[in-house]
Amino acid sequence: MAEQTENQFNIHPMDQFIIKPFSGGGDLAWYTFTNQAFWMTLCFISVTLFFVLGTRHKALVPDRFQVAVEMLYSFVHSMVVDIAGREGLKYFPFIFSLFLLILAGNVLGLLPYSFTFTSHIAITGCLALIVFVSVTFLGFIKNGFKFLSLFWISSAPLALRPVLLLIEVISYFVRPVSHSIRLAGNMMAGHAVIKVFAGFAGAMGLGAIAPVIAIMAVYGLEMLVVVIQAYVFTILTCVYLNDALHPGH
Amino acid sequence: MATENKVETSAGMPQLDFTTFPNQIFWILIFVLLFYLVVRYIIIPRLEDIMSSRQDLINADIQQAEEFNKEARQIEEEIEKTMADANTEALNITSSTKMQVNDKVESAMKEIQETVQKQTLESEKRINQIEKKSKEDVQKIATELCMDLIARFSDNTIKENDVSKMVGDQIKGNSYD
Repeated sequence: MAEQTENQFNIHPMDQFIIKPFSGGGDLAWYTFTNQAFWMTLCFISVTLFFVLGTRHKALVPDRFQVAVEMLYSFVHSMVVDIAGREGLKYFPFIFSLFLLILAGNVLGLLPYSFTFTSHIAITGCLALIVFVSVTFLGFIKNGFKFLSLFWISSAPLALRPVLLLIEVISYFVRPVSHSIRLAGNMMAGHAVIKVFAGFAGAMGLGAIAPVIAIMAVYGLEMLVVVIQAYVFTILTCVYLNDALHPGH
Repeated sequence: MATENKVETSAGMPQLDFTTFPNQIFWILIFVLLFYLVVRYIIIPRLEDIMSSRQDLINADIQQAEEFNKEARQIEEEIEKTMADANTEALNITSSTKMQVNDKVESAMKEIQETVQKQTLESEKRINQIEKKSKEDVQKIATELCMDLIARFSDNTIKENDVSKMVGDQIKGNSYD
């Protein structure tokens, strides 16, 4: 009896994040095609189809589909211009591809039985490090050693500047950590919560009204969170890019 | 069995399973590159093409609208100019017509005055003739009357010429005493 009860509530909300070879078994080598790589492929195909089909008519007066595609494009485009200025447009393709990768990963991750690759710290950490390293290099290439003025806040009182320098340097190197953990944490937490409630609903059977309502509520919230997190990751990338392009405070 | 299953599937936090990191990094790098290539060489060119052709159309429309506006303004100016010219011409025509009318009226008046003067002179002449004839007739009748009276009331005979002269003197002096 006790074993049965344990079985009923045998919920493992973190199991959905386990990386397995796509073929089902075998060892996991660095090149093995995994369930995670499969969902990345689906994201890639979805995004490509979305944009290619959305722009297939190349209509001057767009239909609803094309409007959606154009809105997505204009949204990120204006974000880059507003935050990093027109100079930042040179790096728009990279930022836009990053946004689409994260957004598609987050949105497709909401499908039942799917895999949310953006909930993995290795993935988000990798993305954040790409941004961090490229932005830092760009800062030095564009401004030389003047880029270091980012840490030396000339508008602050002289006595405070060394303290602020320390804070600024630490905060600069913490950027990739916060950048990646924010996204992975949000994705993981939301999906885990849904899985927990789904476990309750499964265990309670037909009477599981409360868990189902909870799932619907959390799912609604998650739909908002997945878009916001993709937006936040992109906007922070733009902010870091702006710091590299215009380091003076 | 359940316990075995639990051991097999539950893995704490799979995110912290460092053995999967090389595989994850490998695939994310590939997909970042793929996304970048698709966005850079397929998606953005298509959208920029649409947006730029739309912008071109909008610019062309705006330019055309500005040209139409300019044309409309020119036409308006032309209309105003034509109106002003027509107004001036109308004023000129009015004033010249007025002058012509005045001239005609003046000449007609002059003609009338001349006619009136001529007719007055003729009338005066005729009146004088009538007056003269009337006086002669009056003198003749008076003379005849006098001759008749003298013949009836006296036996004296007076020459008609004398009577006529006397009557004529009386008429000239306007006195019948």
